[in-house]
This record gives sequence, C-alpha cells and structure tokens, in this order.
Amino acid sequence: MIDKRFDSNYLVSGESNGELLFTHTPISFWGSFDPETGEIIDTRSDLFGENVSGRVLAFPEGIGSSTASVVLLESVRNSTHPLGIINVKPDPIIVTGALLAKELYQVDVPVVTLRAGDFKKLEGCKNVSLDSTKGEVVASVDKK
Amino acid sequence: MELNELEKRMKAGEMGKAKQVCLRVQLKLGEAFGASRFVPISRAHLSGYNRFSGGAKIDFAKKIVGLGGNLEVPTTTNPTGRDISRWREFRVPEAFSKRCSELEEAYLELGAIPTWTCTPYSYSGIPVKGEQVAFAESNAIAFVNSVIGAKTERYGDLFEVCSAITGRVPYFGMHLEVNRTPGVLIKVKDIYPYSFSDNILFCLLGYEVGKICGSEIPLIEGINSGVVREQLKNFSAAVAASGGVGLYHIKGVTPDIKSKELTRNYRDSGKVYSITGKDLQKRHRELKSVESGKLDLVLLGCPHFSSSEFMRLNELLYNREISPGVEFWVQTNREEYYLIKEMGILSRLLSAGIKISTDTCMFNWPMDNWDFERVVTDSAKFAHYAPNELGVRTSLLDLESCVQAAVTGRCKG
Repeated sequence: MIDKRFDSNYLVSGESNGELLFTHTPISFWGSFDPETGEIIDTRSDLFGENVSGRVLAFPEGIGSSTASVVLLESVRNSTHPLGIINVKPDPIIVTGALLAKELYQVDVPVVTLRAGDFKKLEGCKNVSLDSTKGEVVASVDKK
Repeated sequence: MELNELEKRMKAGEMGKAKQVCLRVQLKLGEAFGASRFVPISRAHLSGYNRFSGGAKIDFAKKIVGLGGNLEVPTTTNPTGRDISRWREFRVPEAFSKRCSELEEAYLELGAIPTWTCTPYSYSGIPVKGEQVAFAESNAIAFVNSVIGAKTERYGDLFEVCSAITGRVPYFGMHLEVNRTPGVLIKVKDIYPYSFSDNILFCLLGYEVGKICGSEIPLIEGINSGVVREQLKNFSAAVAASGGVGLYHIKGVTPDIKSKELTRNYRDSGKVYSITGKDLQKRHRELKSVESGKLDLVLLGCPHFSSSEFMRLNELLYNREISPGVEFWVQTNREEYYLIKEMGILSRLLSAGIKISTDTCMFNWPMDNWDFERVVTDSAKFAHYAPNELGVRTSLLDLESCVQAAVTGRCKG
C-alpha cells in the first residue's frame, strides 16, 4: 500500500479511518440518502445502493434542500452515518449537521475540504484517514 | 471571530445554557467559513418536520426548550409533517402525527409565529431589502435573497433555530454585499414554444438555471418585465432544488442588480451560457415520466398556493368535476385558506372534488396509507423530488393540463 497525503481544510474537527466511498457527482442528503439505513437512494447517482455507514464519503459538493443537515444528524442518531465527509466546495449545510451531531450526540463526523485537483486523486483509493489535529487527509492506494 | 460584550456573555453562559449551546454551534461554523464577527438578525424562519427529520430534530428542539431557550426575533415556521386539523383525512399515520405535534409544541413554547408555510414571504412576515435574516427552506432562501434583496445564507436546518435563539448570525456568505455579485451570466433567448405569461416557463427556467449553476450566483438576461410574484416563487423553488442556488439576479426584475460592468466580466471569464426554448423542452421531457394510464393524483402548491393561483384554478374548474378515483390536492397555508373561504372559492373547489391542505407538504409525511403511481403537478420542484422521494412517476404540466387530466382521469404518455 502506498499513501497519498493531502493538505486539507478541516471545517469540523475529528479523527477517523475507513474505506473510501467516492463519487464525482454532488450529493443531496435530503432526497438521495436514507438515514434509517445509510443507503444512497438516488437512482441518478453512481453510488445508488451503496451504504455510507462506517465509510468515509467523498463528493465534490452538497446540493439541494437545506434539510440535508438534519438528515445527516438523523443518521448519527441511527448510527448509519459516514465516518467523515470530504468535499471540494465547503457546504455550511453539511457542516451544520456535523456540528449539531457533536453537540447533541457527542459524535464526531469530521468534515474536510480538498483542492479540486487533490480530490480527483482520491478516486481509486481504498482507505482514507482523517485527522483534524494534523490538518491532513491520508489516502491509501494498493501498490501495483 | 471577534465577539461583542453581549456575545462574550452569551458564550460564557451568562444568558442561559440554550443561548450558550446555540452560539457555540454558530461560532464553530462562523470560524470554519471565515466570518470575522456576528451580525444581528431581525427575523427568522424555522424548518418544520418531515419524515426524514425523525427523532433528531425533536431531540434538539426539546433540548433547547429544556435549557430555557426563547426566540430573540420574530420567527415564522415552515410546513410541519401534517395538516394540523385535517391530518386524518390525509391519512397521516397517527404515531407520526403525534411526533409532528411534539416539534410544533416545542416551537410554540420557544415563541414562534405558527405560520407552517414554505412561503413566509407572502404576507406580514415579509422582510424588506437589506434586512439580515436567518431562513430555512431552500425556496424561501432563494426568494427573499433574490426577489426582495434581504440577506440570508443558505443555512442547514436547525442552524436557523440557533440563530433565532441567539438573535444573530456569523457575518459571512450572502450576508455580505460583496458576496452577492453574480459569477455566471445566463442569456435567455428564443423561448418558443413557451411564453412569458406561462407559469410553467418559470418552473423550467429555474430548473435549467439550477442545473447550469450548481451553487453559483447567476445573472439572468432576457426575461421581459411583467413577471409576477407567483412565477418568481416557482422559479425560486425550481432553481434551489435542481441546483444549490440561494441567490439569483434577473435583469430588470430583481432589485439587487449592480452595474453594466458585471456583464462585461462574464464575457471575459467565459462563464456565459444561453437558454433557448429547445433547452427548456429537453428539461421538460426529463420532468415527465408518467406513461399513459389512469391518473392517481394531481399535486399543486409546491410552494404553497396563493389566492391568485386559487382564483385561476377556480376559473379552470368552472362547471367541471374531478374524475372519481383521482385525488386532487392543493397545498397552501392558513392565511390563503381563510381568504379563499371568504371569497367563496373554497366551497366551490371542495365541491368539485378538490382536497386542500394547510400547514404541510406531501413530502413531509409517510405515504404508507396511499397508493399513488401516476402523479401530475405544476411544480418543477415537486416533479424533481417526487420520483425518488415518493416512488411515483411524475409529470410536470401547465395548470390547464393538470386540470384537464384530472377531469378525464387519464394521463397521456
């Protein structure tokens, strides 16, 4: 395994490590995601049917309804939440959900942004480590 | 972030635990988004209850109530998960209805103005140009920012609750004039076969602009004057649903347009797009998935129907009746309901077979007790979300065609 390290901006602090679930398309937590099961339910998404629980979810930006923050919060309540979120464009709606999760349920869901070029390099990586104290994202790739 | 004396006291807990908790969330978000300070708000609009809110929203509201929280500014409310008086008629599950009432009561305890509508900008609660506010509801955010020129960010649900409790928001994003300039120029040309008097044109335009922009701020040229509020309401809902647009400028229509220099900038930056009638027809086809067959439901009022829209519906239904077996639902708020009742329109619509709800939205409650397959609507926002949210085939049609389908009971493919 080789590691790729990326400088990153942590919008919500925390530490986690897990399998990467990556997409190039924006995600709307309201409408595309079921917080009861953790599944992506949007038939238009290339992650349709995938479960985010226990995985680090990477997508370029959030779109759609302001309800996304509460859907994320609900998934924390149900323990179906992603271990962390990686975006290119910072989204205050997603950040709100993660901050409320800390306050209400004392659960950390780190939210971090990468430069667009670095975000693309995540594709194909297996595992991702998030650590806000170090300010970086580390992705592991199988060595070929 | 720099805090004033009041905010320092709030942070230290000297103004109660509820304000302390809410300010803490706002501080972290503000710092994440580069806010240098807070700015006071003059009003807020709270998100309501829906089936995806589940327990988390109630947990938070109850926590704030339990900590002795109270709203610092006049605060209206978005639709709840049920028509508060008619939920049984709409077959809202009883246990779910009870949960809705828990959030409703928590909001009332905090001191909210119980409007239960997604169009809080349609009457007394309306902000004016330049007012700093904290709004939930993506269509309302787009509307008050763009059509009125008030200032809100596109907040995630519950952040607006925090803001209403502390009476302030981090001074970032669209609260600042400098962040409200457009980044994309969109030219609307040759819209045939649609015309500017068609409401459906604005649904489709909003939808297309949202797809082009993502979350960029557009400047839109080529829309004639003579645009009415309802069209901008539909535009706002569509643009916020298909993209993440929280602010748009329409030359000649919206108040926040700056100078001609802006137009020149886009030509230079290459972020210039055009929309033609062909593009809109293509989008329209995307928003039609209903095949020929028995019509199950007509859904109007996403966002909530206004009295002028009810007047138009009343005209279209003159001497006509909804086909038995077709549900025809119109969503609105209590204020409009009262007005159409006074006008005599309500009784005529009800006797034609229409069901009118207040306080809620079909997306908000579980549809377990209904069996809809084919739905037509005049709302692009509804047509966009319904297939995934409700598992139905949905087609966006102009109002006349919706009524026609309801009267015949059939959809054409």
